[in-house]
Amino acid sequence: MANYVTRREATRCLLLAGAGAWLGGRFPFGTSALAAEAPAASGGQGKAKAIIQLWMWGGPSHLDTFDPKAEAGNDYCGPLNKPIATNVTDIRISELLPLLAKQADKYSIIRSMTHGNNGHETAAYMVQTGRKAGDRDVYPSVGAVVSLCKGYDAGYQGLIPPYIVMTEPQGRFPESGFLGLRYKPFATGGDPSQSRFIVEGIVAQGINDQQQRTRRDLLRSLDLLPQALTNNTLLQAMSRSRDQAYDMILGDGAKVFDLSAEPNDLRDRYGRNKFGQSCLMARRLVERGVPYVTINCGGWDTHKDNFPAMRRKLPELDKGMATLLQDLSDRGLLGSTIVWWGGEFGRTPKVQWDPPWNGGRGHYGKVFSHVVAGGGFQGGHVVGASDAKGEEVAARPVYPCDLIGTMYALMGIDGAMRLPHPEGAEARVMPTPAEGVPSAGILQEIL
Amino acid sequence: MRKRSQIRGAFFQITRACLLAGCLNARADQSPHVGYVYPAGGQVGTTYQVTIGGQRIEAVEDVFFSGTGVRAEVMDHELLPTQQEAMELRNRRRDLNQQTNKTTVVSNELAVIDRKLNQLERKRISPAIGETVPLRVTIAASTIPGDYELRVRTRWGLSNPCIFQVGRLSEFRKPEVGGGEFRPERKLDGAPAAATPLQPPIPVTQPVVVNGWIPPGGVDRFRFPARAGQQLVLVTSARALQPYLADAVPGWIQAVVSLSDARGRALAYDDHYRFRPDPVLCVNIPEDGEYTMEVRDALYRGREDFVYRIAIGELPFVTGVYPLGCRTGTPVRVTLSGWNLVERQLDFPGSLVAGVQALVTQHAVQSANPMPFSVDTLPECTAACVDETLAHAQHVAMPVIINGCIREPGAVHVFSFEGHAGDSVVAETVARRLESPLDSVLRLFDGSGRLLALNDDHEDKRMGLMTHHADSYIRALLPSNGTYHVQLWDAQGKGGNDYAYRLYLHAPQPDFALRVVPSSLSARSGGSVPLTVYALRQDGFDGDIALSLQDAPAGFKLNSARVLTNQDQIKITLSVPTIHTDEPVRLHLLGQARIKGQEVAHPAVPADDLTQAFAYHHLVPAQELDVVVSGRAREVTKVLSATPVKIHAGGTTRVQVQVPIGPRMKKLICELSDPPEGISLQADPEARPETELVFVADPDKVSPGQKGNLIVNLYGVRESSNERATSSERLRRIPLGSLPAIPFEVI
Repeated sequence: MANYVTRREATRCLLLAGAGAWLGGRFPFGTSALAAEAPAASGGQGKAKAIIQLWMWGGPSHLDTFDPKAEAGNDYCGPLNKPIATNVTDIRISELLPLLAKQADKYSIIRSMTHGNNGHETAAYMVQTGRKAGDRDVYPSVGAVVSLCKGYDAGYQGLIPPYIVMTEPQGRFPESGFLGLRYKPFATGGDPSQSRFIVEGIVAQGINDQQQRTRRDLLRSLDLLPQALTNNTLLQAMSRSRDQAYDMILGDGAKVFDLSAEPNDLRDRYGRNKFGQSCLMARRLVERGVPYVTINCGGWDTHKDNFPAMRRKLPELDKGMATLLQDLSDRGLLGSTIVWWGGEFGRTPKVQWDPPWNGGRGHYGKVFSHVVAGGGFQGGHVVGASDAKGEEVAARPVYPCDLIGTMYALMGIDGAMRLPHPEGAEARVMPTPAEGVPSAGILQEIL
Repeated sequence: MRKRSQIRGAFFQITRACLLAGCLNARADQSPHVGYVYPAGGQVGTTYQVTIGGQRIEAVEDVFFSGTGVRAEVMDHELLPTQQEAMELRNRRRDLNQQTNKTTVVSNELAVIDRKLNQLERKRISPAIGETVPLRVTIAASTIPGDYELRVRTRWGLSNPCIFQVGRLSEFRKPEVGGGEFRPERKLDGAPAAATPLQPPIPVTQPVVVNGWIPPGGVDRFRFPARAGQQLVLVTSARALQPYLADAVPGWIQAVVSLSDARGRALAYDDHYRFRPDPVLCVNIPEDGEYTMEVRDALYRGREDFVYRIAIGELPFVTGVYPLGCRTGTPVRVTLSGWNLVERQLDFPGSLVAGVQALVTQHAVQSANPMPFSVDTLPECTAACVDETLAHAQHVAMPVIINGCIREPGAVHVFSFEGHAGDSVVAETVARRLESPLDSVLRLFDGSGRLLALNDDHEDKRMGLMTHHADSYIRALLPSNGTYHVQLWDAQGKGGNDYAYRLYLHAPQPDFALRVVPSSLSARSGGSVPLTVYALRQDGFDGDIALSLQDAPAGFKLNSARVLTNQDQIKITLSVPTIHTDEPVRLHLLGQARIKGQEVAHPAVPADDLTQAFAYHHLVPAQELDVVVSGRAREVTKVLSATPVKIHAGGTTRVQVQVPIGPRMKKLICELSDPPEGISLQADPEARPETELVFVADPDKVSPGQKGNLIVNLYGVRESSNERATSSERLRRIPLGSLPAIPFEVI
């Protein structure tokens, strides 16, 4: 029998494929044409094997985190006017980041990130794609490109999808761009700080493994089509996808997400909150070969009451990120794992004291800070500088594509590689000069 | 129960305010902020209660209205619980709730506790509108209907203005749901709060102005009888009361108003009127019966400051004016279109003075919406425009203002004029700025049909309430002698009898307009307070503009009050004498410049810099520039050194100043506000009345000849005597105002 499937069968297959799409798109529908164009591999291995992106959704203040300006006065630094020394001479960071201050030799601070855009969606796109906002094509984010080049198309064999986001997708930003659904991240949902991390589609609430097996057997007994069409390759592929899904749910996949396997004191050090436990989970995922993990940490859009928000959020950031760096280092993973901290922009250096802001900060894309560690990045450095009030780039501008290009280089991803465009258009991993994207060069100084 | 009237001036309140100041890290301005007034208007000849909501308004001492005829007094009111009191209330609530048999007395006490804690929660969620104060407002019978501005004064200063509308129609105020209980969108544990139940329509009798505020998810409905044949007009004021919401998207109240009959059939619906967010419904009533009007926010947002007023009735409403203006000294007949208009033609004998005038037509007790009417000095003509081709353009002689109307959708009007090589010419439509719905586009061609210039929209910063600057503006240098053509049409391809325009064709007329921000100033006795002057330059004017106060009381003066060549804005200061003012002093600023050998003077229009949707800023005009002076100083704050200060590029410059620092001040902190590029203050000066500031100029960032003003904010650091203060609160920054603006020049 030829590979002929009726419309009804096709519809059913598509529905099932949609349900299992997070498995990495191995089901041969929908993205097959794209996959045919996709490169088999990126062309090489770099120092870095994985990226953990600590995405500070909303845009954290650079002055309140990694670029303090105590000398700028109250209108700029508010009550956070006592930056602390780090374990690297001449590097000071926020007084609310004491644990990270002890880890400064592991990371480098880029204090001259710039793109000049103040819109959440457009800035998030620019920072995570390195492209200009508003052009014809919607380019894939770093995570999607890594998924393309280091994921299933490049021989990745893991059960866990190669691009994970914890816990919620970014929403306003289409991570996979024109690469399509196949390269979207798998969003875990749930909350890793809860006693049981309920992962979307993997660890179900209120259902134990035995119940899950019983359900699987019942479904198999009712699904007579594969038995009737035993030679249909599409149905065979679908059946394989389903089996893999159950492997994920009932096998090692679910164990990855079981944080109770970690020592209590380590969990405490990460911080018993969503961000801290997500950092721990990210380490576990990277340990198991997942090449790209995003921790989507919101709450940084502090238009109002910025300083109380900083006093809540920065201690969580401090514990989670500092412990992650130390933990990766202790396990020998930091050398092969890039940790990338930052948001879509910084915040207005000048504090808005008036109602309704009452000590708030607005969006600020002219200059802001990102932090990178591991995976070939040197620690203990500061790249670029903002001016005395954190309002302008004072030295060595770093555009998003400069940082992204550096990370691709460390991951062994060829920036000139052609991306599979759905219309066959010319599209490269990194912007070509013809695209007119501003650049000041890759971050050679911290490689 | 603590009431505001009982503890005025009490030590407790002062201590609390001081602690608050410490906690806020000494923001420069402790002035009160009014977020809303509800109801936001009233009927002439009435006295009634309104509520104002805002921040730092609990200790309000007085209320002021612009103009004459409206006054208000502060009513007794409870103060919000302090943190200590809130803790005691929570403990008391816990104890009461543990009682098994609750008596009426206990239940009542619990209700009071809940209400007080609710108020505190409201302030926590929305501090900018978290305090409320009741006022008794009296509107004299002789008051002229229109918009007024309400400001309040506390010991810390004068608030921003808040719009208050006065009319002749009877007013109706929506009853408070649940006694005005605050209902957040989410409960404190994060669970969604119960949905606001849809209330039955509230009966009213038109004509009437209904007042309400929209809670989150809220929908207000009003029911009234109407007769067949009535031309009912429903005019909404929501965005008109609250021009911009700083912390919401969309950045204004997006009211949606609908009208349905007794069977629930929708007769009319809108969420805007032309280019304005406030909807206006004009409805021919088909049959006698009951009708229901519904109002909500388009996104079902809501908050106490989502205040609205909707006038309902057979109200006069002007939709179009033609022509949109006239020449001074020339009689003109103006045709009006609209609803329920008694007069559809107005004749003016030629006595109108130059400027934009308000056309108001009267109908019974209610005036129609005022329409702007532009009176100019240039010659005028009327557009004929029956042919859209360049070859058959209507020929006009410059300078001229052409009055026209795009009556047919898609129509293009073409005019020609003679020009000379090297001439500079301005073509400008004024339509949207005069309430015409036209969204103009202008194109300029030379005689061969070559396009020289095109413009769709041109921003006019004078129009602070406008977010789509639809009028067009071209300034071009003519390349040769010959005939030139100007095309004008509607960018959206629309047209109609209301799509009127005035097309200005003339040589550039360099000029300027001024805005002074903010419109409310709070000064310390003998001190100085900064204000920003914006120069809105026109047709290439780039010269100096000198600023002065007109008819100001003795001792009030501007410092370094000059907008320099090519500057669009400058910060200056107002110095006040060592007095205390009981009422705001109204100030008038005048700007003077020499343009083409002529002395030109324009008033600086008071305005406020309002934020729309977190990002955009607009200079919204106010009616008055008011200043209050608080305290009683013996000495004035002043700059003792000669000015302008000469600052050496790469060097330092010392400036002697006199500051109001007291003996208990441990330290004097001086901060440059918005410092010019490359100029900074070296270190805090010694804390003594006569002291010295040291300015530094970075040679890499300044250039010789650079000029401007230095605005220095002063703070004293004082040790608190309050034993309850924490260590961080013990040393408090006390705002001491600003130094007079210091003019500087880099040499």
